[in-house]
This record gives sequence, structure tokens and C-alpha cells, in this order.
Amino acid sequence: MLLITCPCCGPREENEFRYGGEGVAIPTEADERTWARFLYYRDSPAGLFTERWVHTHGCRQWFLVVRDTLTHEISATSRLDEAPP
Amino acid sequence: MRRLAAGGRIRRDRPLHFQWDGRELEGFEGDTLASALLASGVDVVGTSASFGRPRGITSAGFEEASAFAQILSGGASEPLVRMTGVALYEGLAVESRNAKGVLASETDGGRFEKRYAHCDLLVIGTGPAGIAAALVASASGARVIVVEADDEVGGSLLRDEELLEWREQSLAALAAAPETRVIASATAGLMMDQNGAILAERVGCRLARSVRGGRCEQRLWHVRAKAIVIATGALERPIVFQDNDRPGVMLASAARAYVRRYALVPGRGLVFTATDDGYRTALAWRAAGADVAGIIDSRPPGRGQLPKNAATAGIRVLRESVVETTLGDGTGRVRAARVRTPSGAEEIQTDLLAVSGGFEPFLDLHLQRRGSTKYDSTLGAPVPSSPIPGQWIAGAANGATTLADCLEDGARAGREALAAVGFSAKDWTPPTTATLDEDAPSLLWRVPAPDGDESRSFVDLFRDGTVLGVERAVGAGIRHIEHVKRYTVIGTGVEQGRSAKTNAAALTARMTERPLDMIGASGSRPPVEPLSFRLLAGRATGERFEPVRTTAIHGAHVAEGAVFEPSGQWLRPNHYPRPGETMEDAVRRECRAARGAVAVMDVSTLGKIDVRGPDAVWFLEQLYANAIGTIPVGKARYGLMCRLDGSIFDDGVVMRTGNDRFFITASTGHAAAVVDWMEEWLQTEWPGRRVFVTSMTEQLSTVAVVGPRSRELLVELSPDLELAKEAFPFLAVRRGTVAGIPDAQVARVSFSGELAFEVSVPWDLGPALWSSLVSAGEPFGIQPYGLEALQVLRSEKGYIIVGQDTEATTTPYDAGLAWLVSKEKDFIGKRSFTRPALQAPDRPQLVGFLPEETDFVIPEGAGLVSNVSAPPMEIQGHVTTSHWSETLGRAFGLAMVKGGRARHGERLYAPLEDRVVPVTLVDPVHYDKKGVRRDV
Repeated sequence: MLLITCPCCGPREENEFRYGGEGVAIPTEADERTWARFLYYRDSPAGLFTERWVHTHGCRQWFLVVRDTLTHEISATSRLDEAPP
Repeated sequence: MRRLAAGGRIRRDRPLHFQWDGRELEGFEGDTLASALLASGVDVVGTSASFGRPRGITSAGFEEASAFAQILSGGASEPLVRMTGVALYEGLAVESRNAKGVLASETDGGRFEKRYAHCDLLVIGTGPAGIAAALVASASGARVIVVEADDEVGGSLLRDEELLEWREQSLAALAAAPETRVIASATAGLMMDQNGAILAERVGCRLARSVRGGRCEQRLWHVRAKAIVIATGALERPIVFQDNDRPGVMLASAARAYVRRYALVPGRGLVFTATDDGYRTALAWRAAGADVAGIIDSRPPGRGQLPKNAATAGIRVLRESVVETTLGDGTGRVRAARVRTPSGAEEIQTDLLAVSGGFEPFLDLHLQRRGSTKYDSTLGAPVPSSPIPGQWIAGAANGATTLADCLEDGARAGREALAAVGFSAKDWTPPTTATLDEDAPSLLWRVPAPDGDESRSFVDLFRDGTVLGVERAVGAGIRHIEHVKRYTVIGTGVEQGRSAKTNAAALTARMTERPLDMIGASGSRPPVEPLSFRLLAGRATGERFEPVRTTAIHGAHVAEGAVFEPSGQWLRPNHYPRPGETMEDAVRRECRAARGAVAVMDVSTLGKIDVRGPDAVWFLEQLYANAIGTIPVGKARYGLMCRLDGSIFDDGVVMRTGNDRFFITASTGHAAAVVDWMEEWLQTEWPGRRVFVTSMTEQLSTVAVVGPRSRELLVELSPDLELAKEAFPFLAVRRGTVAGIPDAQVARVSFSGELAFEVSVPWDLGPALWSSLVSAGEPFGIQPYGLEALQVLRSEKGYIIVGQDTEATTTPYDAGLAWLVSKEKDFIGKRSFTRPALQAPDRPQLVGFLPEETDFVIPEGAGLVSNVSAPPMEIQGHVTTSHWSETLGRAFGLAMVKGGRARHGERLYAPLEDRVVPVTLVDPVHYDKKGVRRDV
């Protein structure tokens, strides 16, 4: 289980959180192909990955996590209203 | 083996009685099950899984390859427990199970607990390296947890009787350190990401029932450490030779532990060694006054001190010699070893053959995290090449071989780990140790069978894996060690082949003519030793498995004899049977009341959400597929939310309670998800929008008052509410006093198609509202109704339940709800409606159906086909809802059928197990198509 540092509440166990995956901007004026890719395709890099989590059983705030998908090491977390890590 | 009159670490003043396969035996406090059996003369403890050969105890610890038994006395019977790890207690009852276990069928009365702990440093293992690391760390003031799998702290110091005084002093120092906790009898079984570790601590399960008191059986620790020192020591490796599996063949270090810790000596011991350490065992026997038949050393004479000591003690040493087979007595126990010497062969009588093939780092925890290793040609085994970040590996686990090196390496690891977490270590002086000249071990994996029969040369005792098995694997063209493992099943036992892996790799290397460092070793899986499900479950069993949510009115439902049904975590009435009624009777009666008189239902479990703020209208317009801004204050509208892909997310009622304020209901099962959904959009897409979303589910009790006489009932209870049709039309929302409760919210919404009102009052006033309704409704024939009747009523009207009649891809068009989708505005999901896949004419669409057998209720989920043939048949759709309707007087239902809206009138078939039921597709609205009853 991961220990995730919520920018509001501090380090908490993973089971307090819910995973939100990669944050992708909703495309405007997208053709069918672009729209379908947006709906159904996400990056899954081996290495550093910026992803969204929400502290469901805490402050209920969404925030960003930079996690190494190979080691699960979390190098940074940040609030959505901060500059991205 | 024979128990000495004195010595050892057992408490002879505290005898303990235990049962072995029904036999009453005796041991002492401080014994393990294994040592107590050996002391009682039980050295055949089971028969092997495949060949049925008698097997004994091969170790005194984690190396154990055959002594596993069923513990009967620990609450629920527990299978495959390592006998060298079971502390003896009064009343322990054990059954041999021949390398197989049985799972308990009875409910376990024992209590299992969990603890969560955080520390700066976790030290795993308390041999010399672990103690040194712990001492260095605890003196610095860091928070330290030290864990030991054995019941006694000390590791190899105990079996080697070294630094015992220092051990005592160190334990006292650790006990005195305020931030240090030492947990013995606890196995570190799993290494998790980010330096998490899971420990299984044996607490009450080590004690007689009579003295367990309030202790839990076992405790599962979730430890999160900033740094971890792995000081798990080394495991001794056996040597493979013919008939090496006889009871009485044991690892040499284990035989020494049995002397030193448990005061057990053989009748006539023989050592077979490829290391100087084997000599220690012979010397320990001799010091204890036991008969030593000799030492068989595969190596030529060297300069080591221990062989000199053996010579001085007058122990016979045969150099450049090996044991090539053993001879057994009538029960299969070892009685002699046949020794190949440079000058020929010799038979040496012995009842305990102690084997030392060398020591290798115990790295399961490191390997669990996929830690890297490199082959060490001196040890003939993998040693860690670099630890996992945040971890340090120390002592024999790190490849150190002498006591002085282990102490120094432990202190180094402790210092480095401390520095990494921001503490500075104080100077530490290791205790003085004698340094002995030792000769390097020889890498002796196996001795060929004298008669060439390798079918009795055991690599893996637990799995009955032999040299012949490896030969067959290699002969079949298998080269990868993981494939050898699967082919031979070597290393797949409960002990993960801990004492078999390196030998299997070495044999594979030899047979495939490759160097051993190219072979590697098969992996180690978590946990190191099995964890029982009851320990993992902890106290989350039975009624504590999951929280049960009940409404404020729950007591009234119980009093009315409701039969309950779980709905998510909620417990909701399914129906209210009267004495003598079947479920069908009760549901029909409840439906008759709702359609013919008045009925009440507790709908407090509905998700209730307050949305307010200057941007609330804008926000809800984005979320809902239908128009929100046009809802007047004091009115409600059925609303539908979609996901980005155009599928239905949830439905509910949106009530506008003010200009900038809405009261929204969501389905019971999606209540939390809807709030989360709203928060996610607000926070991640529209953080600047001024909207507040608050869950009100547990603030309000809500009762649906349903039926043609519901208005009459409410008129009686709400004198200040104007309830006439014109003043309070369908979808109006008002506030007023109901049953003496002021400011109740009354909404004219209907999920049954009847005239209906939903009354919401503060949560704790729910019971008062309920009882007022029920007693005032008596003259009208009021009935409470449950989920089953609700299902019948709503499906008669073709109202969907999201998640039952819809699935993850169902769109509003598929569900027949296109009429409410706004064409004027943009909203979440709208973009996807034009996707070709969502326009396809053969998409499943909601239809109603009527079975031709009018009283046969087709099971929900049944497939529907056009032509009945032998399977597979082409499925046209499936039944999503199916009931018997009291109102229609027949069975009916809803289904999702390909292109179904254009197929009304068509005949399909539901092929069931024992019959085929023809059905006719119809409009989903089975009753009161014009909604006259609802709008009265």
C-alpha cells in the first residue's frame, strides 16, 4: 500500500484515496477520431507519471501526484491551484 | 535424540503437555514443537507427499523442508504450520498431515488484531548484525522497531553460544531506549512499496488456552519505516545425496541449535560437511558428552582452527570424503552412512547425520521487492548487489561470514540508515570476538548415487523433487530455472523450496553445462511464510465485515416484521409479510395498496444532495442532459446525467428550492458517486465556479406516500399545506408542517406512476413521521411497502433503474429517454452522441415484454433469441427486470433488445434450462401510458 502525501492533510495511507488517472484536457472541436482517442486512450508510461488522486476519506480534494510507475516512488504531490510539480 | 539433564535454554521446572497424533507427550517451556518431538523420541513426523517416504525434522528454523503439521488447538484448525516455528504450550494438539493440510470448516472463535505503526528504522532480524544495527539506531533517539521471527532474540548467537552476555546487555539497552520497540515471535512476511512491511506476530497462539486471557491469537502489523535494515541472516544449505531424506538427516547448524538451545544430543552423531562450520556441531556434541562418530569433510586438509580443535578433541575426521548414501532401520530412519573415502568405502553407524553444505544469505524480503543479487563464488549463492532504496542489508544476509564482520556490518547499516533519515549515530564499540582462521567452504551441491539411481537423491523434500527430476527436465530441453521449477515442482511447496533452490540451480547449471551465475535462482514470493486468512481478516468478520447502514425508521420496519435486503451498505425492507403470507402474497398486497389506496415507503437511503451558489444553475446545466435553468423555483424535474462517453451515469430528481439552490436526489447505490462526480468536475475542470455541493443523505428522513388516497392522508396530517391539484400540481415542491413536524419538505414526485408525495424531515424525526402516517393512514388501508413492490410498481410504468436496466454503455437514446435530452445546450456526454457507434441501429434498446405463459416469471438476466436452436444461439437481448404484476394480472418485464424500439410486437424466445418461453416485445410502459393516475 502506498503512503501518499495529501497537500492538505499530509501523509496518509492509500486506502483513504481514490485514483483518478491521468488528467487529460477535454478537447474542443474534436473530430470523431480525436474524440474517441480522448475517451478511451490513456498514457501508461514506465517511469514518472503525473496522475490525479482524490483524498476521498479526508479533505475530499483532488490533487496531483508524480509517481514512478516502476518503483511506486512518489516524488511530488501538489494542489491543483499550485504550479504543477 | 536424547535430552541432557542440564543445559539449554529450556525451563525444566515448567513441563508442558501436548498431543501428537493423539499421543500424550511432554516437553518444556522454551521448546518448539520440533524440539519437544525430538526429545520425546518422535523423529518420523510424516510421510512425503508423492512417494510416501518417512520424513523427519531437517532444521531448527526457516530452512525446514519437511516438518509441517496441522495445529488443532489454535481455535480453528490450521494447516501446514512449520513445526520448528511453533512454541510449545500446555495443551498444544498437533496432527501429522503428510505434507498436506486441511482447511478448517469450523468458525474460528479466536480474535485476530491489526496494528499500524510508523518508525524511522525497522530492523528485521536480531542476530549479531541486527542487534548491532538496533543498538546504534536506538542510541541516536530515532524511533526504532526491531522484529524477530524466533521466540527468542539472538539469532545465531543462541545456537553458537557466543556473546550471550553482550546479548543480555544489548536487550536491556534496547528495552531502556524510550523510542525502541522489540517485537519477538513476529515474522516479517511481506515487503511493500515505499518501505512498508507486514509482520505477523504470534501472541496468544503461543500460550495455553487457560493463560491466554484477553490476548489476541495473532497480530498483523502494518509498519511503515523511513529506513529498513534487513538482517535476516543466512540459511544453511543441505547436500544432495542418495537417501538424504531419511529421518535423522539434519542440517549441521540445526543439530547444534538442538544441543545448545534445547539440550538435545544424538545417540551417535556424524557430521558431513563442506564447511568449517560443520566442525562446530561435532565439537558442540562432544562438549555435551555425546558420542561423535566422526566428521566427513569433502575438502582436503587446510589451515582452519576448527579442524584442529576437532583433532585435539579426538574426533575422527575423514578428509576428501563424502556420504554417498544412507542406510535405514525398519522405520526408514537413518542408522548408518556409507562414506566414500579416497581409499574406498566405509559404513559408519549413526542415528543423526548432520549436513553442512554452506551458508547463503536469506534474501526473501529483498527479492520480494525485486532487489538485485549477484552470484558469490565463495558462498556459491546469490548475495545482494544493491539494496532497494531506503533499505540496508547487513550481516550474513549481506554475505558476511564471521561474527566480527556481522557485528561491524550491522553497525554500518544502522549508521547509514540513520544518516539517511536525519539522525546521527553515536560512536559504538563492538564487543570483542575471537577471530578464528577458517577455510573456505567447498561448493559441494550433490554426491552422485553409488548405484546411479538418482530417484532417491532429494533436492526438495517437501515436493519430493529429486536429481532424477532435474535430469528429466533438462533432458526435455528445459533450461530456464523458472521452467525447471515448474517442471520438477522443486521450490513450489509451502516453504518455497528455501533449502532446495540453490541446489536445483547448481544441478541445472551442471547438466546444461553453464556457469551457475548464468542460472540465477527462482524467485521468492510474498509472504515469506503463509498468513492465515483469519489473520488477514482480523476483526472484519461476520457483522463487522462491512458497516451496515440503517435508516432512522429502521426500528419501525423491524417491528412490522420486514424482511430486509442489502442495498449497498444499506439494509432496506424487501417486503412486510403478515403471518402466514408468502413473499408473493405480501408483495401483491403491498402493490394493491399503492395502486388502490395508499402505501408508504422509507426512501431515506436515496442520495440527497444540496447544490447551491451563484453558479449552481450553470454547473447543473453542464452535468444534466436535460434543461435545468428552466425549472421554476418550487418545482422539480426528472434529471439524467451522462458520462463523457454518452452513457447514463445516474438519474434522479432535481428540485429547485431557490434561485441559486437545488435539492437533488440520486439513486441509493450511486449517492456517494454522484457527490464525488460533482466535486471532481468542480475541482478539476471548473475551480473558479462558485458552487457548493453538500451531501444531505443522512440529514433527512424521507418517506414516499403513494397511492390514490395519499392526498387525503396528507390533508389530515398537514392542515397548513394546500394540497389540491391546482395548488400543488405534479412536480411541485412545498414546505409545511406535516404530522406536527414544521418545515417538512413535500415534493410531488412519483416512482410508481400513482399520485404520490415524498416527505422529508430531519433524520431523527423520521420515526415520528412514519408512525403518524401509518396510524393516520389506517382508515385508508395504508400499507408499508418494500423494495420488491417498488420494483413491480416502477417497472409496470417502464421507469428504469440505472445499473439494472442500463449497463455501462447504455445511452439516454438506448433507454428511451431521448425526449428529455436538451438540444439547446451543451452538457457532459453530448459530444459523444454523434459517435458512429452510438448511432448504430442495432444497439440494445429498452423494451417491455410479455411472456406468452402469462403466469411465468422469466428469471432476470435470461437471454432472448429469435430462433431456438442448439447453442450457441444468436442473442437478441436480455431480460433486465421481470416480475408478476398484481395490476396487470400477469407476468411482465423489461428487456434490452437490439434495435428493440422498432421491434414492438415481435416474438422472441427465452431459452431456459428446462423450457423455452416465448415473449412478445411491447412498449416499456405497461400501465397508465398517459400518466393520468399520477397527475390527478
